[in-house]
Amino acid sequence: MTQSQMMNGQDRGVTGVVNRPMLSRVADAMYWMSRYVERAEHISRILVETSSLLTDIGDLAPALRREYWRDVLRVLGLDSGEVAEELLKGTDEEVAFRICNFMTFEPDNPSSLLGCLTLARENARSVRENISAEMWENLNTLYWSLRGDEAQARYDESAQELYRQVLLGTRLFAGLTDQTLAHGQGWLFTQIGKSLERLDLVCRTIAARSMLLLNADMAIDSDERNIHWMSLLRNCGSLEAYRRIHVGDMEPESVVAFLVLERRFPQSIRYCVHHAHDAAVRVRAEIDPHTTDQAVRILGRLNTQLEYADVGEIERIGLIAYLGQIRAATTDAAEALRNSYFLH
Amino acid sequence: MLLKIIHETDLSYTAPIDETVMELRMAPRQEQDQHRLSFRLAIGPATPVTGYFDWLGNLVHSFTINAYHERIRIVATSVVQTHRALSDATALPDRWPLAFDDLDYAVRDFLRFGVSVVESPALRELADSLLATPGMPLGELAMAMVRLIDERFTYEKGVTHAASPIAEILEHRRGVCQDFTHLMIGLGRTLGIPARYVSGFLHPEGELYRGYAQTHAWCELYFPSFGWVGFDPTNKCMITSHFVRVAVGREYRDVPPNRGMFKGDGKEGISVAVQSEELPGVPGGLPAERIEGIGIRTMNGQNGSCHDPGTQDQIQQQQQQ
Amino acid sequence: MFSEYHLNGIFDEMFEAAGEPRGHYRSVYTRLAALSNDAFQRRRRMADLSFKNQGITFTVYSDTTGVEKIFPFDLIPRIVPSNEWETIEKGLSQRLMALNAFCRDVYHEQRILREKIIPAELIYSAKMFRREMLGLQVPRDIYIHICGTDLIRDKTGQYLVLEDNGRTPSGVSYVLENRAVMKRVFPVLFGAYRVRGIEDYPHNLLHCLQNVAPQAREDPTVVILTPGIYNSAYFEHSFLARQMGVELVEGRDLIVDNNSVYMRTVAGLRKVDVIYRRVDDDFLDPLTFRPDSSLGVPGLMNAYRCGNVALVNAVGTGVADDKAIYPYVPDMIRFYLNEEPILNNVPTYICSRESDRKYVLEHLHELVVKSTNESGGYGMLMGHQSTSAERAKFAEMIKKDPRNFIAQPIVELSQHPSLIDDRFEGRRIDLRPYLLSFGDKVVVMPGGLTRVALRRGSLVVNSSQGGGSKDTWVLEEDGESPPLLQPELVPEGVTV
Repeated sequence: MTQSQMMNGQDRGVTGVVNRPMLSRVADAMYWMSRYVERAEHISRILVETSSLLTDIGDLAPALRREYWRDVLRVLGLDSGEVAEELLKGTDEEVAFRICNFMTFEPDNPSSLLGCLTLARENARSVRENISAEMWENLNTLYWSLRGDEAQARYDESAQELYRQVLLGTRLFAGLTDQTLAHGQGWLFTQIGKSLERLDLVCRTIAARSMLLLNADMAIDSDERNIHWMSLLRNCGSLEAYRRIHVGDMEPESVVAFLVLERRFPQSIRYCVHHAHDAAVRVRAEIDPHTTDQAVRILGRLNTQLEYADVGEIERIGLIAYLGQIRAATTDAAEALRNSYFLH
Repeated sequence: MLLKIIHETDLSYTAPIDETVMELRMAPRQEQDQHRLSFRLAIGPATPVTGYFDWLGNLVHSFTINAYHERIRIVATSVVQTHRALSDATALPDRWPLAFDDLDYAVRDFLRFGVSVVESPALRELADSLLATPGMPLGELAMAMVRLIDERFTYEKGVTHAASPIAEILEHRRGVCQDFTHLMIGLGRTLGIPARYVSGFLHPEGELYRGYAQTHAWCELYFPSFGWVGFDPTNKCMITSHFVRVAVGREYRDVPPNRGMFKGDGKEGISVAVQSEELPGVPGGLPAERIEGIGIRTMNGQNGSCHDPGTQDQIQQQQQQ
Repeated sequence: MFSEYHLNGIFDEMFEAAGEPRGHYRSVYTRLAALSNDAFQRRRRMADLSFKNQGITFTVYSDTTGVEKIFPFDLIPRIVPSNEWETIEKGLSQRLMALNAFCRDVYHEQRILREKIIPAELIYSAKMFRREMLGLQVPRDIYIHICGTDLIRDKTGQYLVLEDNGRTPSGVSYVLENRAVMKRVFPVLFGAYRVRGIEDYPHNLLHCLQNVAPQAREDPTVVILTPGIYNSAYFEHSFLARQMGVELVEGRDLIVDNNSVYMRTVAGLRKVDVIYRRVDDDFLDPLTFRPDSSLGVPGLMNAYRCGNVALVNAVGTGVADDKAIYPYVPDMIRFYLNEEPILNNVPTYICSRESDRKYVLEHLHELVVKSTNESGGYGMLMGHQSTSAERAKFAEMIKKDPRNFIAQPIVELSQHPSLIDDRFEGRRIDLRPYLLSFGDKVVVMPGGLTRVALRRGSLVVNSSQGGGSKDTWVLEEDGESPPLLQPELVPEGVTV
């Protein structure tokens, strides 16, 4: 018997299992813990993909290189202002080096990997009695893997390798969350957090990339274009799944349709909305059966909209505007959630 | 003297606040030389109020308001009969210095310095200038303190505030009744005389008393032969039937008329008014104690814009002038 | 590994004389002596890993930065025979009964002051004397529900009480974790002894908390109030919440409405009946105590006064573990219980007494000087190890504020073998048993936290000062322990 199993045996506590409403602060922390882990996952994936893409296409797209790095910042809304301009100065190598550093270790950047994982861990630490020992140990280990001299040394040796480790760690965390935590209120809040964060980041990533391709229209030939759409899929962790469905097809419409409307794939926007809505409905049922709340209403509407949408509709509205609507609804849902559950 | 006193406190906020917790020390004390015949406390927004006696025997009323509100109004109305038995402290047999060991330990607690009444060389120097000599009647020494404060210090509002320690008045030589009281307590304690702070009301009756439109403060010194004897350093006199004792303590922090906390970003404003009148006779049908609500509206929460759960503020305390 | 072991001329827990283990240590000794260094190191790594992975840490503060550290675990168990324990248990229970009677008295009738058993001056000048508690009725008259009393042994092996921690004693989580790790690392050795279990502590603690629920509510809501994740004992707060299955709350999770306390849940406000608070008095209620505290709950004292919520421990218990009041505990036992103290105090000089102060100032080099309200080994002077400059500094401090200091002769704490690098060496230890008061009875956890001063020659066992800890085995019955029949194996399937 391992220590952690033993701990779980005792976790029920001497009062036995009781289904009582959880503290607002705890729900809030679980929600944000999950969001920050998801954010770290997305960032590490984008960093891996961007550096490898630029290796793949080499000298082919000198004008675009900088735009790709700007893209990384744009996804997180960090692409304007003095800091961004500083980061984007100098040679390509310098820019790559600086942005990777900024997005990995920078303590003043809450969206750096270390920043996200620090916040995720702080949140986890404040609710340790509500998460499993495995989740805590995993997140703790992940956090320490990015702190200290050892982390810097491993980063200097191979940044890619470090990013892959973070990627693996965050996925492990998601798996442990599913497998070691009772699927009650706490788990449901982690699911809403994860889904809302993912769908927001996927929206931002698609928007950033299509803006980039739109602006740089003339400079890119069609061979290259394929590479850029492929890299978008990679950024969203969706390339393999996409290829299985759309064999040999890298048309922008198909890519967008997949990322936005695919019903079965967990990284797609529609899937995330469905999952978030489902979790929100179940939270409400656990806390106050036979009632509904604003977050459920917003997510329900969005879910229905995406369920019956087609690519034509996206084209009519315009991709950027369409994604903008989804993000606005997501923000409203998050705000509604805060008001219903976190602010008592 | 039969007095009716209306004590109004209005707190207002520039933005809605929430989660107010407040304690009031506004009810006159029930004592041998002072009878509280009636006490009515009206609070808005209306909320349940609980009364209890603190460790000093002061009657405290506490309440919470857990809904957004932009103002709080408190009206305390008292009818009190006062009859001070002592008019001349110099007639008492007590002499300085007091024998420490003969004092009850609970009384000795009022020899300890505190947060506002702080021991300092400047205070000691001031005490030395009283030229107290062994065998001197305690009452004379007390009146000497009152005169000393009147001679050396100027009554002036706006120089000090509710939390000022006596170091400030010792430096600036200006202050209000709260500072004068702290100063006299400091002098008493420096000379080994137990001294305490009294918060209360002062009925002016034509004479020009300072500090009458607000709650007032004065000092009591301990005379073993008699008990606590009140002196008002602000008005250079002994306590008479015009003075109504509400709360006693080691210093101001034990007795503030209102003390509270709230959540929110709104800036707070406070205004206080005290009116007193002498009644010809006891009116009929007076309630001994009654708590009432004042119809001030609260708002529902969750409009997001007015709520910052992060900040928590102290409700201002009124300085006693 | 015992070959270079020195008895150092003090009381040694394991050895009666060089190479001669005491009866109750014989099995441990035989077993340890037979283990290779290698085998030992493997077990040590196993134990360390176990603590590290679970993040069983405490936070050490220096300046403003906090560092999370593992509390070093020393693998060699400390064994207390049952007859010794019986005395300790009786002595501690007696002491806690007296301390509770004292708190009750000092905040109500004050008989002990009126009868001049304790100088009133001492009580009224105690920093932790809470005048707000005067006349306040607490549930079942229990003030110190949870107590962690520090015991030491002098040169002759006599147990002495060093201090009573009646505010918020910490460390019990390490006791439980140490035991769990010990059972994994030395299963056979552990099995060879009949060690009294401690695993029911969380259960007892919960009952102790429920015991003071207001209005005898059937299924009261109990919470633990923590200052938050940056507190040095946060791990313990979280651990106990998990073990008892109760909510761990911060001040901001609670709200007072019309003299009742509620916690903010996703379903709205839920009433709270008992608060096991790990927040100091000063920070508990900004309306009553420090107004700048953001860790507490405004209005909490009013709810407490109204009897709608129980606080554990009660507010104001610090008056009972003020180090200048500690010398009077034997008098309290006589006064309230009409009994003779079973456990003795360490002789103590109270610096606010003129004659004591004079003696202290003349003998600083051979005394331990302690600040009356500090804990955790802070604010201390170890006379014999101090420089003249340090002594001069303390002399000044004592003269300036005598009430704040006491002094004690240096007690040569007993030593116990510890694994230091690759061999056993004697290190000084103390013992903090944990007591729960139910009013009419006291439940003492069999064992407690044995703390070790891991620095050679050090007499300071506090975790903040380089201390470690050991598992403490209280035996069910006395007599020779049976010989070991089975070899000790590291359990299979555990990679180290």
